[in-house]
Amino acid sequence: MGGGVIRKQSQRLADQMMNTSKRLIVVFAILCLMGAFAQGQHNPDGRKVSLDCVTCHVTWHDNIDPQKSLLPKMDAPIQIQGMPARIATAAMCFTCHDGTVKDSRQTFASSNHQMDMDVKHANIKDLPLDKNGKIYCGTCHTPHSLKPTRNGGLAPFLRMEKMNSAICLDCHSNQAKSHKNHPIKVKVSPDNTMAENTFWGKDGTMECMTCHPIHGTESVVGVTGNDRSELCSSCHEAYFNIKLTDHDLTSSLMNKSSDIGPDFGGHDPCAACHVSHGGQAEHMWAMEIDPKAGENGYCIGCHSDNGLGQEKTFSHAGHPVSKIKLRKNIPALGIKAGDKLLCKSCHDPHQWEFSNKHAVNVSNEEGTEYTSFLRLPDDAQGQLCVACHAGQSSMFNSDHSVAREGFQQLFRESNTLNGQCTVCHGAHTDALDGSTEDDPYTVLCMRCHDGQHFATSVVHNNHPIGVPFESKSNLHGYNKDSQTLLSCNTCHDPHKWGQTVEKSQTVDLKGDDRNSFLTISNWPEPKLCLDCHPEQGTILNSDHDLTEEDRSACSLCHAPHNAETEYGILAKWGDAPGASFNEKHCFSCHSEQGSASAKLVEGYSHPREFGILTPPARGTGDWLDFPLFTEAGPSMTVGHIDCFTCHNPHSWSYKTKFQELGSENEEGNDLTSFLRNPSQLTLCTDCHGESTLWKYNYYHDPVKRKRY
Amino acid sequence: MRFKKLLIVVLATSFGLVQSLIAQEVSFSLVRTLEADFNFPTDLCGNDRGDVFVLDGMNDRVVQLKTSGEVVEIRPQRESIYKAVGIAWINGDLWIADTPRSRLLKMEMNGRISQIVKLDHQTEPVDVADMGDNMVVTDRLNHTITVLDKDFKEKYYWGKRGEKVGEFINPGFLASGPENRILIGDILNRRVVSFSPSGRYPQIIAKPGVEKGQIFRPKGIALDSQKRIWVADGYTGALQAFSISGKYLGIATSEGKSLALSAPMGVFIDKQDRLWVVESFASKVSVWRIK
Repeated sequence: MGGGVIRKQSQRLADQMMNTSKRLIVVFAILCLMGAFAQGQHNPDGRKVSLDCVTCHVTWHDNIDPQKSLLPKMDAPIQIQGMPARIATAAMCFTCHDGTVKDSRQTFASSNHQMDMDVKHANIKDLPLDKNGKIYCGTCHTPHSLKPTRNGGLAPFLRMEKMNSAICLDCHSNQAKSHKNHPIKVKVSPDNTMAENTFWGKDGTMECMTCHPIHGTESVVGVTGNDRSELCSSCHEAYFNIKLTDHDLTSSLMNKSSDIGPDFGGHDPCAACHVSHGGQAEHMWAMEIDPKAGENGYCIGCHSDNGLGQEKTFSHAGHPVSKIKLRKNIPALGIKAGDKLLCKSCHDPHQWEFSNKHAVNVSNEEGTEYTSFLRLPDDAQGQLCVACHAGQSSMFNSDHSVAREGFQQLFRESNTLNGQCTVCHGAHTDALDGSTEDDPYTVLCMRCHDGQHFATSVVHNNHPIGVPFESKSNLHGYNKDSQTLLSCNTCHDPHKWGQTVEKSQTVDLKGDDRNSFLTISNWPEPKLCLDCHPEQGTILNSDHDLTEEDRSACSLCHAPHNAETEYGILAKWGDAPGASFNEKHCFSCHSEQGSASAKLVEGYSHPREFGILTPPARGTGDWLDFPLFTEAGPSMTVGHIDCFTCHNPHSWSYKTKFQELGSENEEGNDLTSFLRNPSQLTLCTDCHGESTLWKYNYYHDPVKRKRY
Repeated sequence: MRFKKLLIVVLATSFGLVQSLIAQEVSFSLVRTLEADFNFPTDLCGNDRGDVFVLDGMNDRVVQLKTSGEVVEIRPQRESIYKAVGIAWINGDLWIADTPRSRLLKMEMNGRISQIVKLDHQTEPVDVADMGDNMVVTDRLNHTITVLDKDFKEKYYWGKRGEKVGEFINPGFLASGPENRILIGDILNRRVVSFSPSGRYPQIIAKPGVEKGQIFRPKGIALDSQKRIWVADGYTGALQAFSISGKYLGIATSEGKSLALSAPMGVFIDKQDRLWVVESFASKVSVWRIK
């Protein structure tokens, strides 16, 4: 029994122990399970995360025993928008990017965007910084971005797009403002010589990373010092024609200094005028400019009295700028309709000579019409000027072409070489000398037409100049004392020869009323003459209208230059008979050999021994009422009777209604016959009394007029 | 009987836990540090004469630290080792895992590359080690271990990308371990695993974690004279010792504090039981005496 009890007790004890052990085991198992469950990982929000997460988010390991922890003690290693965040540090990134998983050691070694870099010069917006407010890997990168291979993926695991520079601009927006910084998002010429591995944006646009390697030892691609020449020339090769010109300040001002800002101490010809970022003005301009000067300020900044280019100061006397808006596109000069005419319209500051034909090897060379940073040369075709002033190009086939021997002779004599336009016009100086009292147009024309040089001489008996005039077409002249005075340019436009009779470019042309650089055509009607002398238009269709195929009604009798007489600029009459200028002039036609042989003037001479007072001298009227002459020409005081005393060759009748002739030549009478006045208005009665009418009517009949 | 067995299991488990809790702190004393203008060096190895070779791949060179104290720069002739990661002294020769160019290079002391072994499968070798007559290579691209025969031909390989035992996520540094085992740092699986030479019988030596006795970024692996397996943790900076059976043996301390090196990578222990370690982030090599 006892044994049985003991067994039972033992059994019970054993059973109790067993029950206790089972309980313990169950409890232990539960604890183990709980412990095992508790060994999972949770993020700060309590959400269970996978093992992948703690690959980087090391602090998300649950239940880290502080006594055993090997984690570096870092409180809130990262800030996101200023708020602390316990996410991976750069040290974490390096544990994989040390070459064992990926090799980003070059990035870690780079001086660009290196860790611990201050961001004080950048205006960071959304990107996270480390605990000290400095950039670290995670500032730009996150492993949570889409894989680069996926649609919308941001290689290499960037927080923002790099193809459009978005990630750069988040911090550096101030370095992308247009004009003062090098532009981005612009198409680049496929002819660029950038390295093959150059970063381009979508559609080949230039972006920040095109020039700036994000991770590297250079802040700018291929630039280790201050000389950006090689990089700039990769896309702007044409601008490097500037080298060794006066605008290459590293060459032309090598030994000079300036306090206006440009850096011309190095070897980068760009740096003197341009900075890539933070320019003082548009065009990434390195120097301060006068904002009032507008676009020309870039030039005037140097080409002023105190500027670097003071040897070539800008003058307002030359071609006007700024105030002119161009009305059409001028592709040859890169000008669009509506653009203002500026310095740069004619000048390309990067190129000493058009097409760079003229290799410059020494700076400070005096410019010519072919150089001088002109976009086009002012050559014999006046390319530069004609680009805008196309209407003046007809001059090239005229005697005013510099290709003609006359100009060539001038160039030889003066040892100069002018272009088609600058031979007369100064781009930056006033071609017309306004410093003297003389008519500047005449001064300019007489440089060649002075009788001593190669051009047609116009020094004798010319149409009067320097006199006021009234013109129906408002012809030009020169202004003096608020008056417009007649000058060469009143009748002549030196750019337009007119209708040519000769197309040759080498043979000097003989001018007539159809050409001769006349401002208004003088043929077949003498419109130019009549523009100022409309009262003489009555000659038209009269017997004195001797218009021919190359001559107007005026030109038979009048020569505006080198005339026989100063008064009336009467044309030369050769060997015509007559005692006076007037008689010779009239008898050149009204003679047996003349064209008006049907109207010979048999008797005409009035005794000249009697001096007759002119109407003005008498105080009875105008000189033209009864013009008198001396041997020297018209007299305002005392003279004798001559052809034009009685006849006005421009008007068939002094009465308007008889001025027009019929188709057939009419026989004249005392109302017509080109008589100036009716007999009663002449002064003849003063001497001839009642016989006046007889003598007047038969003045040219030597027999009849002697009856009284 | 079942109760006894359970009791034994519980006691054994408790003993293991206690053992791990009372693992020793192994005192280290700094012998010296070498900087030599390194630029993120990655690995080092030593020869029988006591010279140590540091792979300074970013500088495209190997730096020889002679026992005499002389520092010699060895630049590859007509070749580049730029961004190479692993280096090993194998059977009297200096071998470099030329990672980005999928090859192993045998480099002479004058820089001449006397042997180039091109690797198949676009292998990106991280480290190389000897394994008897063979060489073994870790591959960061394919997540495999490749064994080359004495003619440098691929003999076999094992592993693939994955978390299971026997799989890898970025196998990195390796070392020949005791009992003819090969020790591999499985970096992103955060563990150190030993294998038989054939790639079988994997055994986890160091498990993931950020506490003592755990590993977060296994990098350099080396054996000391007591056959302790020292593993550098690239993130925590710790050097911890494990037995080949996976027992945690201790952590390197200096002046009473656990060592926290600057991104330690390659580790080498010389015959004097001095531990050489590349501190890559600090671009230096530090030498520690294991007390």
